Amino acid sequence: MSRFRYAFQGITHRYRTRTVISEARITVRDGQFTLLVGDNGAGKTTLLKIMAGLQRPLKAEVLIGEVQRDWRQWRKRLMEDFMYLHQQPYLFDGSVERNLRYTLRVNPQSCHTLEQAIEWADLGSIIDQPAKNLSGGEKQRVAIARAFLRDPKVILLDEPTANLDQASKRRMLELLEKLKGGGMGIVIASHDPDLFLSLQDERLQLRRGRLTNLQPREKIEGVDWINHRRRSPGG
Amino acid sequence: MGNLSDALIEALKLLLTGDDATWTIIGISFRVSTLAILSAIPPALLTAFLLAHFRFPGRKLLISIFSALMSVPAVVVGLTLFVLLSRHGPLGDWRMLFTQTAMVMGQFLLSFPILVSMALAAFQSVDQRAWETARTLGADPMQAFFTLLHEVRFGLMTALLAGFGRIIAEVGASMMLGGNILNYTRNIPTAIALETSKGNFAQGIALGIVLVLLAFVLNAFLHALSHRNTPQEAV
Ligand SMILES: Nc1ncnc2c1ncn2[C@@H]1O[C@H](COP(=O)(O)OP(=O)(O)OP(=O)(O)O)[C@@H](O)[C@H]1O
Ligand SMILES: [Mg+2]
Repeated sequence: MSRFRYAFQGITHRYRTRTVISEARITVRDGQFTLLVGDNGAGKTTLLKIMAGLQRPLKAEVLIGEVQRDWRQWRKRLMEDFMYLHQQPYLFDGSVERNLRYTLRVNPQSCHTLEQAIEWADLGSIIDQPAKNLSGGEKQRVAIARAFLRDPKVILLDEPTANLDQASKRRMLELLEKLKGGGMGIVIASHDPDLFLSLQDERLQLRRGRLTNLQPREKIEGVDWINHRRRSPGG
Repeated sequence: MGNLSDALIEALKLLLTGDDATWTIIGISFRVSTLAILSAIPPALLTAFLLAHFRFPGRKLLISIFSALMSVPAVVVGLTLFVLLSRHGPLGDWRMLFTQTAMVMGQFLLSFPILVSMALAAFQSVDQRAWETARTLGADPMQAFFTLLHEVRFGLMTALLAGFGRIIAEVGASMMLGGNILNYTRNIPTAIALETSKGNFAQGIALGIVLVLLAFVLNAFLHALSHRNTPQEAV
């Protein structure tokens, strides 16, 4: 398991005249689980896409290892090391298997095989289905299996449980726990914060452009999530 | 009416017995138009992709120019190239007037705006997430470009068939640039124009039948594709 640290600073983004993110700082480490909360339209998606190198911010600096550079100079590296999962996953035309094979084709160095991914995300029963026809929960599972195959340093998930039933949520949680255990850095934007209490190491709130660290003592509705985490195994 | 039915029977004979003169003309038509469309596809796809994915000054203007060029009459395109290629024109040294190459150039120019406009529509119809997903899964820009091509392949096929349909049947540019030379630049439309004016209906009708059949086949393909094209996914 490799150790890493990505520190973003001064992330600022504006749509026309509206500032959605202002001087935000966020650090991601190996095996660290960060929960990102915020109201609709707060800028969570924007922030995750900037971190993934998919969307150009007005301004941002990134510290990787010991080297601090402008976002633009690190963009290629961010695209290599980070992976962003859309709230509504986009699966390519063709079967589930084709989607997984595609991931392997563009990641020839992957240390996982197709069979491992199928077993890991329990896709055996839908592997031959046309991906476009899957249910929302099944699509999420394929999307996370692609992340497993890609094996990035960090995954950024955009409301991965928004359309899932209870059983699927638990399943998603298990998969994320395994990824975290394997040393992957995880950032999740979610409106379902209590779901991740057992996994989260840090909780950030995006509000009126400001990204603030919710201190452990600022309990959410009486749940002391720091103690909750201590009790959970392996977290 | 006896004349007409005789001509029709004669025409069918020409086609079915594999009449050399008739089939040579058909061969020239397909050869020239296939070469034209094949050489137009790569630059047209690239142009459409750039127009779909990048915002730059003059983009809107370019799009409306291509759209307007779709309906420029073939004779005007022929005339323009004729002036350029004629003995005293700027490209006169190429000695290309009245060759198949000149016809290919004319048909290239005729199909290019159609290919660009229709491929642009296809690229714009595909979800923004398709590109982002390919990139964040680790595809480089070239791989992501081909992924997009695959996602919109039915729309692109439609563009190709429409472009081919326009140039295989156009008479203006072929006549001016090819010169209607027997066994060299005489293609289906120019042969029909000539034979009919000479009162030789049989060959004209035979070639007309080929064009009508082709129109039906192309249309059947377009129809089938438009059904495959309807989105199965409601997001
Ligand atoms: N391409 C865009 N152009 C203009 N404004 C945009 C664009 N994308 C997002 N916005 C605006 O920026 C703000 C932040 O959007 P964003 O999608 O990042 O919010 P979010 O926190 O992900 O919201 P949600 O919880 O609803 O997913 C919103 O007000 C949105 O309208
Ligand atoms: Mg969002």
